[in-house]
Amino acid sequence: MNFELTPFDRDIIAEANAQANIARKYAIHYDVNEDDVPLREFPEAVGRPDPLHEIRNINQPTSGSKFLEAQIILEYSRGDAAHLRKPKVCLGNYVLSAVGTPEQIHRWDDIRIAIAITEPGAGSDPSRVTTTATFDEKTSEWVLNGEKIFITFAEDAEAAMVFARIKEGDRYKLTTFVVEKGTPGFKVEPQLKKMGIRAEDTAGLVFTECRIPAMNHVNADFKAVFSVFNLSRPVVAAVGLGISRAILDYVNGLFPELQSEATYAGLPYSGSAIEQKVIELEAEYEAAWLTMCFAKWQEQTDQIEKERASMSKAMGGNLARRVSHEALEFCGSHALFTGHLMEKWFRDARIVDIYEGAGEVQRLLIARSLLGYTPKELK
Amino acid sequence: MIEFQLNEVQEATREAFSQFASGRLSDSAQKWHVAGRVPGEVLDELWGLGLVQEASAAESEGALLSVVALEEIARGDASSAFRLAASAGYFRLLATAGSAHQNEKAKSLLAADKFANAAVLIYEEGMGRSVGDIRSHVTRTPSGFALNGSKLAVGVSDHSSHFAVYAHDDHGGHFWLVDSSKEGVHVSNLQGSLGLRGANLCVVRFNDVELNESDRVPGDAAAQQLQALNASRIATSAILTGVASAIKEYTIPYIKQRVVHGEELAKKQTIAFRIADMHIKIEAMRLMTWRSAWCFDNEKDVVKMARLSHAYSVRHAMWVADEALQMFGGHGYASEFPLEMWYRNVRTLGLLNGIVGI
Repeated sequence: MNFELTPFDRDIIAEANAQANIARKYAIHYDVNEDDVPLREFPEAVGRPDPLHEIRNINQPTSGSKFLEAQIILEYSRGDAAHLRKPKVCLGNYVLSAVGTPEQIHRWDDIRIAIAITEPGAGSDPSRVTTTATFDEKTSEWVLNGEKIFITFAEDAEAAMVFARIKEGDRYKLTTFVVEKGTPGFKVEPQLKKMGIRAEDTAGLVFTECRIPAMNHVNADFKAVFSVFNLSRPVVAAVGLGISRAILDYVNGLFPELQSEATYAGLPYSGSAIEQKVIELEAEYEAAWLTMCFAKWQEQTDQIEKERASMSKAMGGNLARRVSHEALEFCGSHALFTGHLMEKWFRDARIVDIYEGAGEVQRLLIARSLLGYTPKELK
Repeated sequence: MIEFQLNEVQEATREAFSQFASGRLSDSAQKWHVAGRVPGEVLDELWGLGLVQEASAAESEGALLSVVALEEIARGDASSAFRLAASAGYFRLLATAGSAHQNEKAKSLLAADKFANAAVLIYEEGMGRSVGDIRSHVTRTPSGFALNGSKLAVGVSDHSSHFAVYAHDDHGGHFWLVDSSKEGVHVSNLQGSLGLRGANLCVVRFNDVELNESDRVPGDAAAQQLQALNASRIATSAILTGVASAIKEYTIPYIKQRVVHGEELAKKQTIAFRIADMHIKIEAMRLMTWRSAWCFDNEKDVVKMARLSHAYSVRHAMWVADEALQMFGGHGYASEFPLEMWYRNVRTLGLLNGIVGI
């Protein structure tokens, strides 16, 4: 058992931390100017190492690349929703690597693939997807029709991994297709107006008689597809942790002005109400951080318990809600004005418990595992 | 690097205490709760497993070993865990700060077959929120020193108890070793308590108890007191994790067979989601406990981590006990079922500061 980061770990996290602090300069701009999609790489990133790239081939003592990826995203999220450098891979890329054929993986090796599941009528329940794909025998093409919403990296990605229904006999089956930008009949909608994370590229995709080659069908085992989310969920928890950390760092910074401090040595309720609250919130933060680290450690050491990813996500989402609500109970009304990061963080934080699998979905998965129930038995 | 692996010794310890708890404690915990007493021979058997002896002698990772064992013991019976942890705190204080003479006596107690009833006593009954509020004091006498005051204590009813009592004198605060058999030591509040009833919470009063120089624990008492508080927080987190774990494990089979409105309780989302949350909280409690124990063993940031671990466990173990009790409906409220015992134990554990250690 060890809770010490290695020197390599520290360097990576320090670089991510520094980049996050720089990226924060742009935070207010991209929050106020919603239609502006941030650059893939800001000028300040030039010449700086890319932590996400540095962790690919580590040959020094380290807590691990998977562990570090989560810590990097935590730092970036602490800075702002816009990162100094956008990641070169999206969730769609992870899915392709997991379930694509060698030919498919090679074909779409060097581009960003956004994942496109959600529709106006299908969010937490992917089985309600109504985007259809019909096979045209004459041209060996699939024809896609449907609409996707809330797609992350919608504008910036070079392709989308689209979940659609196909007919097999008299039943519908859910499957996936890679659709490249520029394909006729594939349109990206204008940026979605959101309460927060406005710097994030979110929009809908519309498919109208969109024809794609047969090879674009990623005929995947759905269990394998969804198991990819087991690896991404703790990283999404990291977003909640990062925003919470930003908020907590801010309120801890208020103590000199309040002429008090969070005295951890004191008995419960021995300090001011604000001290007591901050200690409670710091405890919630540590609990959520450890939950995520444990999930990543299991992944690192090939002992994955599938519920751990869901536990991480549920914790991270809940944490972001609690910390953002309760910090704004006492941090001063000046924080309410546009231009103050706290009011932006309050709005940013709320998405974490919703996207990439809402907290309720996570609890459903955890409960089914603990109670030994199938999806039919526990809905 | 950050890793969560228990080593072989820790795994073996966990296994040994898990077996002891399920074989010797789980089935009797309620009986002892009602009787207000854990039998002496059970404590002797627990003592015989060697946790306190090993943890106080350990070069490193004694705290981690303790929390692993305490969680398992508490899963069987919180009161037994509390008694053993109190003893652990006393022997750790002596191992780290005691004089050679004091350690001689400690060694003979550790080597004995009988459970050594011992505890570090800092806090007093009232509303005091800091060490400055402590009223117990030691004054000089022609023959030595006299101790006056009172402390919240544990397990005095059985046989002689060994206490390390924190008291102020003209030169600040110190720990003094006091045996309960000494003249002037009186035990009160033995009528029972809300929870940890098997542990015999009580108040010990000191009325001109005669002490001499060799009874004073040397060194920096402020640092010792803080370390004792850290240890008590970590031990409490471990015990709460064990109790919360027992609650969850007991609740799952019940809700899977209890039919309400045409289906099992467990198939209702509100119940299933609470079970998921129980699991999340309990797992997090354990990780917090491990981390703060590691910090204790490695002298890194222990004050903050122990406090956070305690804050988290106290709040969320109460939630687990409360929600589980509700799932059992009227049975949860009836003494025939263990939910009310656990509910009371968890609340009691959360309010106590000090006493236990690792």
